[in-house]
Amino acid sequence: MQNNTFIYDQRLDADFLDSIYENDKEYAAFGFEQFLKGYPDQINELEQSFKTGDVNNFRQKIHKLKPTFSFVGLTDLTAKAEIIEKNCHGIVEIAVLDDLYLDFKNKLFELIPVVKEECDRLNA
Amino acid sequence: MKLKVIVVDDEPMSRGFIERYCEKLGDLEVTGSFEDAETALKYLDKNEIDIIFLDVEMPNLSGFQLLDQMIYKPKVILTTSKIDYAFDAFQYGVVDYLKKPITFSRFQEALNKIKISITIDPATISDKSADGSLEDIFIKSDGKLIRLSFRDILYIESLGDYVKYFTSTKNYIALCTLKAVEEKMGNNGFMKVHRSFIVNMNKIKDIQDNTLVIEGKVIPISRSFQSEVKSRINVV
Repeated sequence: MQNNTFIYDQRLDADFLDSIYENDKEYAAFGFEQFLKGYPDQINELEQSFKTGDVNNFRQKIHKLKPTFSFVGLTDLTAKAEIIEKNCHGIVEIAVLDDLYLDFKNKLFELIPVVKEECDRLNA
Repeated sequence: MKLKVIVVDDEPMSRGFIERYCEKLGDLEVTGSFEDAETALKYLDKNEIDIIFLDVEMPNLSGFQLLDQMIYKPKVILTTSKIDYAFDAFQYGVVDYLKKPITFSRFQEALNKIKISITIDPATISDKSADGSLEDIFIKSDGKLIRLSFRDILYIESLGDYVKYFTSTKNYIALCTLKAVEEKMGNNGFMKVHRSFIVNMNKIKDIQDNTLVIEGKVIPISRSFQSEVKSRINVV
């Protein structure tokens, strides 16, 4: 019997992806495309708010972005974003978040090519 | 008939997923999808819907502020990235609280809660007397359908998304709103006397200005219902 199960890259959270897409490749491709289309502007806005030092605005932006990473299997990034959001509470100087934010960005930019590859494979 | 749904979320991907889940289930019709609460509020002023998927944290007007300003309340499912709002959600009487990102199975679970309250309770099956009035109803309680004769029901109390039916021998809790009970039972000797109580008029023992008594239980009568209560009893 032919096995049609799509095997995601091991760097992505396959269990979570299966729970939302239920092995529907077309639907998963839609999710990946939506993420790739939307994330550059949202990351740019996030970066701008970090640079201006407005903690509340930065917190709102990362709160909004947080769940989207999971839609492409980057559940670890959702968790990192959640930690950053929690750390926004009660701080005045955004520089306190430097290390956490840098780690978050590095991880994101490391994994974006993986997401793009998966999107191409889903559309193939 | 499809249930009418709107989605209110400032995050486009989350909106897209909920729309897609609704489409997949087939018996939901997304009549509106809004990135801010203000636009949704304008839509809700002119259109009646059954279910609202509502984000909490949005710029300008939050999900809770939208609920505060709504004239009528459809069934509400909160969709949020934080669990901190659970207590507020409970106070607003929302049906379910979905933490984003939302899986399809969790989405289905929330919808099932709504469907039970809309389509099954309070009466899916009922008997009618010769004059066409209902004589009893089936309520869904403890996972089964239970027949309750109207003669046996003393009063019904609202418990938010649930109601409690009181009889002389036993009480039953069912997932249902008092409004739905009123629509089914209002013309069968029952009357809403307070936002939390519907009473069997034939069981009233005595009435004072703002209270009535049924089998020793003192039930408040809202000022707005006092004259109607008096008009429905035989006073010599």
